[in-house]
Amino acid sequence: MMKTNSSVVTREVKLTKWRSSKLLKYWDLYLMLLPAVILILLFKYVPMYGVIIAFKDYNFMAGVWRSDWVGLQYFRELFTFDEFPRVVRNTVIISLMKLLVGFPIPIILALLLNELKLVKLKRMVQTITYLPHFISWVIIGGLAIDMLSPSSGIINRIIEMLGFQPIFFMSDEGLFRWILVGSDVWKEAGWGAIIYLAALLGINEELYQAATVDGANRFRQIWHISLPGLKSTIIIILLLRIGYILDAGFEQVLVMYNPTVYDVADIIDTYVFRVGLGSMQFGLTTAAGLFKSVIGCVLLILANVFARKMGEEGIF
Amino acid sequence: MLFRKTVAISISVVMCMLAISGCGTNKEAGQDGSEQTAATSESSGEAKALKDLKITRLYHGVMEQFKGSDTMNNNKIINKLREESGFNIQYESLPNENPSQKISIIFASGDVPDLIMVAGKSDYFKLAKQGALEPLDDLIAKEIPNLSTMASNESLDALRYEGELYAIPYRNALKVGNGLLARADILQELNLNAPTTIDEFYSTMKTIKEKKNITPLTMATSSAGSFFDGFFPFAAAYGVSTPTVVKDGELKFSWVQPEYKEFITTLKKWFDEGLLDPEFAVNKDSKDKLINGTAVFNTLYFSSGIDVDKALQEKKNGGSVQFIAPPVGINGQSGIQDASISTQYIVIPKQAKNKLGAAQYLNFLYKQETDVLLNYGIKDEDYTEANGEYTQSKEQSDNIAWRSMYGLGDTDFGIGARLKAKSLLPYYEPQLAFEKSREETNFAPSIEAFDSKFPELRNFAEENAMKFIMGKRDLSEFDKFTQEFDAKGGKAAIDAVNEWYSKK
Amino acid sequence: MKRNRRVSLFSYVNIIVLSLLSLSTVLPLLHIVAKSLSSETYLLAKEIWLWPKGFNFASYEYVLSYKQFYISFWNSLIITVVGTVISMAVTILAAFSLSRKNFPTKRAFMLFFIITMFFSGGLIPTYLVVKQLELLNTLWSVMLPMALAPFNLILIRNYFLSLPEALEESAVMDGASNLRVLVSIYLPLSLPTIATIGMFYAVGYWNSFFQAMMYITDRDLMPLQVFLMQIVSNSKTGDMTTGGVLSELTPESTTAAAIICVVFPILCVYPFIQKYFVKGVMLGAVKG
Repeated sequence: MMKTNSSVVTREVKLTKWRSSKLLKYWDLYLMLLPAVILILLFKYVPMYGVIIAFKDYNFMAGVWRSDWVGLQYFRELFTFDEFPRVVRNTVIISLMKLLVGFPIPIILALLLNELKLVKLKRMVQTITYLPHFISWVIIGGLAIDMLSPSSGIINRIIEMLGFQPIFFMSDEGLFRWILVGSDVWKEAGWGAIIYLAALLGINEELYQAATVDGANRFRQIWHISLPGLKSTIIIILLLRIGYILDAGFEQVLVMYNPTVYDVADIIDTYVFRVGLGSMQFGLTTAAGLFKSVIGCVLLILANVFARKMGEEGIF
Repeated sequence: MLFRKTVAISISVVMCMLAISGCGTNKEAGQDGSEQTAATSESSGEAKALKDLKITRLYHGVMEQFKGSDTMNNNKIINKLREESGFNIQYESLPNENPSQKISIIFASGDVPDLIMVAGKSDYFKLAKQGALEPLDDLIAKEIPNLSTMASNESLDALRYEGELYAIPYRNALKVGNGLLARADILQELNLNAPTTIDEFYSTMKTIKEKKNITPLTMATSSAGSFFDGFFPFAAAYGVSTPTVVKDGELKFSWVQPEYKEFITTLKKWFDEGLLDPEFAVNKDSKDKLINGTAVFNTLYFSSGIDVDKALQEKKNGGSVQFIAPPVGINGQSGIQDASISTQYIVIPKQAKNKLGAAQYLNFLYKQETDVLLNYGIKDEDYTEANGEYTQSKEQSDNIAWRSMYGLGDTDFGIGARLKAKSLLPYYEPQLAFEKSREETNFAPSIEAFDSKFPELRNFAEENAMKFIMGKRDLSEFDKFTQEFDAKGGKAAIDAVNEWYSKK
Repeated sequence: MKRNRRVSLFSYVNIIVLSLLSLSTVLPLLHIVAKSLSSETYLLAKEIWLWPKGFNFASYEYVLSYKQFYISFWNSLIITVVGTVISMAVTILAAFSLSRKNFPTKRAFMLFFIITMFFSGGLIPTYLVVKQLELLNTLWSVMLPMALAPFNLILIRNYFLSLPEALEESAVMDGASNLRVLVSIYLPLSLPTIATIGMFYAVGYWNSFFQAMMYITDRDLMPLQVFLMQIVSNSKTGDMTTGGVLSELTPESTTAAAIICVVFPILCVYPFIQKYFVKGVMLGAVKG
């Protein structure tokens, strides 16, 4: 008894010693971290008690703490919506499709731009491809719908000129998800490429020179020098995108979908929006948000563990 | 091991923060509470209105029209309002998009204005139920005698929660909203009269299709709920235009009635024969098809009529549009949407500092002289009046285009003045004569089982109706659809409403 | 430099692919410009594609005659400049300390930041915090809550981690402090990344509207995006109205002009940032 007690004490002493010494040793690093920690504490962690609204019948007059508990009622409500399996399936499918297509394309774009030796053209392409990022989905979505219209859209004019029947893109269940993916890539690829372009500039030029001397062609240089140089950035972005798998692009879908493609396009966010339209359904909305957060966070942590197992740095 | 430690550390940090936040917010809730008691003790003491009065209203497009040195809270109209009401009024606006969000934080923070507008019945009842609003019966009786001109007893009673009234509906003087618009010149060119019955509508469209090779009827129903608005005049011919109908003294959902199946069958036929725009489900806007002459009929908001006419005149090909009577069905039924139902409400928050002043100011706004000020401006400056005749040029009206944002309800006099100033009367007045379909549940109080399920049911009905029309679901499955609808909660919802309806 | 000078087939294909891509991505902007210069009639008839019809500048005159535009422009400028400076300072400092290999508990802190990317307390509690700090109706309410974006922190930290440790060894031997190592060794080597993240922040601030919509009621403090939001959501699209209020709608051409006026200033940032996209900084550093 005594022995264990004393061992606990010594361990604690050791621990505090260890801690205080580390704290002292790295005081300047802690100081550098302090502003960021304070901002996040104040504006993110302090309000975080709000997630319990998902378990409460929120009442304005009582505030969050004194509102009545309702347990898992909102989660039950959410999970028992007849459409719930459909919207979760759509969310995951659309998200995965965007990941599969939309994730590599900015990388490819950055690599291609990096290979472009005409500096003026390179800068122009960079500046132009990132333009659509600044235009909201209301505009881009509307434009895409106009372009794809069977009666007046330019794409169908071309299809007709080639002697085919016009295609009803926006009400075609087989095509609609691809339209979402395509327009998303169109809008965001240039913007997404910027971070890779910045990372490519950090690669030591000598490596390329050495490779050229060894007679490696462009593709081999990309494969053996550029891509490894981008690896850590690619992994980080990939991990985060995995974490956001349940965000399939609310604004975009809301602008572009219509009732004939609800079966393939209705996602969690659009469904919650339609059902709770204009009403103060805090419980339900918070529950839906929490559901997404927990899944996203768990996926990210798992992916990060996996990345570290594979010998990568990961995010944390 | 390292990973477990990291998680442990971060969790402890999180827990720590939660504890801190807990203290912070408890204090805050307490403050709200004390504020509340202060406010109530104030009102239970001697009744005296304060001078300062804060009004938060829903967004109104005219707010963007202030010019020069005029601002929302400093211009000649608001100064005149201050002078005549005796209150130092300050107006604020809710955002145009998702005002509920902002309303929520206003009430949650306890930092409330004296008058605030709320959009939507469900939001209003939620606030009333939570005790966030001041009961108005006493205040109305004592302070707002002019209300009788602005709200009928039936419309007030529909807003009662457990017998108490907490809101005044924002009076909507417009009786016409969406109507059936036709290219009059194309009909004339083909020697056709505006069709009056559903059968005539079909034969007229057939003729147009044959002679001009265009799709006569277009519609834009891509956003949620717009299917029912767009095809309203046609559903009315089958007596199923509103969400519920009265049958054998009971309310029933229109969407599962045999008449609805007939209506859908008709639309499907039109769709299959190329009379209905195959893109109707995707369109976000279909005015262009009328303007370009690729369609002849379309359901549009009445004020869109003038836009289409203007565009037709400016383009060389000319033409004109006219709102036509909704087609009559076999049983003699027809109708357009009743636009006079208001879904905006004026409430006084429970924690407001100047409740008495709020009531008095409302009474002031509802006075006839104030109404003239809000709709015409200042006499001899913005308009002239002689023997009850008001004269105002378009320029005079445009200079103070923002004036109507200060009103909290429209009168027939006021809306008439504004329609005239915008030259909209020719598009509005002819439609007054058309039948308007009445939706009973608009006059129902809050019925939880119905209200909470309604959006989901409507979505389901809308999605299926469009699928039936476009052939994505076979119409022989209509009975299966009605069973699914009932199973989804349609039955329970309508039973709940009938409990109220049978006692009415 | 000595890389294959011969213009290969690959280069041709590359040029063609990238040019086509640029052409396609410039379409939406051209489309809006065309709309903003056209007369409303042709917009209603949906005849505007990439070339204006009924050419006029009336929409721009309308937007630029509007007092709120200038007030909001100024506010957005302050938010963007001040906000970006604060954000960069906070983010770089945090990223640097979390990139030190021997710094204990760094993984825990990373997780501490990352969690906030997924979990949020929601609108009402955040509003109450901003209110308690007495930030309502100030420009700080727009800047501070979004001053640290964990995503950007991760990116900068990742870049710092990728720099070879050998770089700083001599400096550390000389007894240079951490701050010194950061300022004189890390920063100059990370210019492209720092510039990029700076742009991410600037664009984020310029485009933010939600905070302003919730925390600011004073129209004199409204940023440009809120002004734009009001105009866009009030524009003449859609055929039917379910509400009953006879409202004044903004013509679509005016909306288009407003979009151009709001988007254009921030578009000018990237070409400026590209100045810092220079290769070979590292090369010199390692050798020197």
